[in-house]
Amino acid sequence: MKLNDKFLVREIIDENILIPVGEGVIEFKGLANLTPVGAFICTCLQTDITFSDLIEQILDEYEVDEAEARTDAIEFLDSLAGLNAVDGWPE
Amino acid sequence: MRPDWDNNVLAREWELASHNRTLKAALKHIPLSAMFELTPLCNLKCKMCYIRMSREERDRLGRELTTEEWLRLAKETLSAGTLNILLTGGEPLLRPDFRELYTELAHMGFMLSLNTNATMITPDIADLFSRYPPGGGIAVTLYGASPETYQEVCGSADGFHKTLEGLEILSSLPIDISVRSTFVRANIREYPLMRQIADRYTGSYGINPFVTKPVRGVVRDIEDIRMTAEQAFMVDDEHTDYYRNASQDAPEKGKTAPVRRSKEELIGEERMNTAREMVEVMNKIPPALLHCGAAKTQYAISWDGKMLPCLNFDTPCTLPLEIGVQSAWDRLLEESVKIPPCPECQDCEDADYCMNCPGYLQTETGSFEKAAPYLCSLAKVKKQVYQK
Repeated sequence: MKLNDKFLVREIIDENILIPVGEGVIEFKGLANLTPVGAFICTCLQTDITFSDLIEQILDEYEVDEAEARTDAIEFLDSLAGLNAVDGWPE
Repeated sequence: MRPDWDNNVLAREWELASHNRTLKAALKHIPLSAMFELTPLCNLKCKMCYIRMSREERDRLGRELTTEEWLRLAKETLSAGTLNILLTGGEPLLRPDFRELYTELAHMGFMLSLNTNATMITPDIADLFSRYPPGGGIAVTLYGASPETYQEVCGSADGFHKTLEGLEILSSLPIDISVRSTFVRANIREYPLMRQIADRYTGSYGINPFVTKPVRGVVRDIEDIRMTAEQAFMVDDEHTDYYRNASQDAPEKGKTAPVRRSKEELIGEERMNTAREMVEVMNKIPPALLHCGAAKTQYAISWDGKMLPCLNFDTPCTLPLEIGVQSAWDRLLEESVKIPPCPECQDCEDADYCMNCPGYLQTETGSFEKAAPYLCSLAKVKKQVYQK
C-alpha cells in the first residue's frame, strides 16, 4: 500500500498537515492535522509498504505493544482510505 | 466524519484551526499566506481599479515574471512555509500560461484561491478547475446588474453577460464561490439587484464601498468616482442589515429595526473573542504600524516580482528573485519596521475609527507621514455612526 499522489504531507509551523493536491481537492476540501504517529505512518507510506512491515516500523519507532499498534494503524489507514488518500488498503 | 458533527461544527473547527495556525505563524514570523499578482492587465477597464494598466503602461514600468520565474518563487515559498496562495491581478486568466502555471501550483501542496472577473471562464478553464479545484475557492467580482452599468464602470457592456455566464459555469463546478463588489457612484444604485445576482450563486457576498487611490505607477483620478464617506457607510450599513436579517439568528426575519448592532451581536461572542485575540497578537508583533498580518504572516509578490507587505503598498519592497524568498521575507520585515508614523494620525481623536493603514496613507498622499483627507472623512463618519 502507498499514499497516492493526490495528497502530500507538509510540515507547516511545526505541525504535520495532510494536504490534498491536484485532483485530491475533489475528494477532500480542507487540511488534516496529523498526530506525530499519523505523520510517521504517512512518511512510511511514501513508498510501497505492506501492513506487517508498517507495524514493524511503528514498533521500532514507538514503545507500544503490537496489538495496540495494529488497532490504531488500522483505524488510521481506514481514515486515509476514506479520503481516497491511500492505494492498496485494505490489503 | 464523526456522526455527531454537522457542517457548522466542521466549519467552526476549520476556522479555529486556521486562526491558531495564523497566530503561530505570526509569533514565529512564518510567511503563511501569499498573494501572487500575476498580471496588471485586465480585459475590463474598471474606473476604480488600483492596479489595472494597459500593455503600453506595463511595458513602460517593467515586465511580468515568466512562468519559470513564478514557479521558482513558488518552490521557494513552499520551503519558507507558505500554505495559502491567492492568484490575483489584473485578470489572472489573461496570462497565456495560466493553465500551465495553475496546474503546476495545484500539484505543489498549496491551498490555492483565485480572484477573477469571470468573463474568461472558457470550457477549457472550467475543465481545469473541475479537475483541480482551488481549495481556497474563487472570488468573482461583480460591478453592476446591467450592461449599461458595466459599460459605465468597466468600459464593457458585454462584461455583464460574460460575468453571469462565468458565474453559471463556475457554480456548476465543485468550487466554493464568493462574489465581491466594489461600489462607486456609478453602480451604487444597482446594489439591491447586484445582491440578488450574488445570492443566486453564493452565500458569501462581500462589498467594498471604500475606494483608495491606485498604486505602483498607475495614474487614475478617482476623486469624482468614489462615494462620499456618508454614502459609503450607508451602503455598508444596508449590506450588514440585510444579511443579519436574512440569517437564521434574526429574531424576526425582515423586521429588525435598522440600527447598527455591535460586532458581538453580528458575528457572535466566540468569534469576536478570537478576532480580538488576533488583533492583540498582531499589534504586539512588529511592524507595529501594520495592524493586520502584512509582513507578519503574509506578503504579496507584484506582477514585476517585488515582494510587498500587501498589494496596497508601493514600498517597502524586496526582490525575491535576486536574494531568494526567505531572505526577501526577512528583509521585508526589517524594511517595514522603518515605516514612519504619521504625526497627525498619532494625535488624532478619531484614530480608533480609522482604517489606519500606512499603505492607504501612502497611496492617498504619496507619504506615510501625511494624513489623508478621504480616510479622515471615513473615520469621522464611522465615529458618528457608532456613537449614535
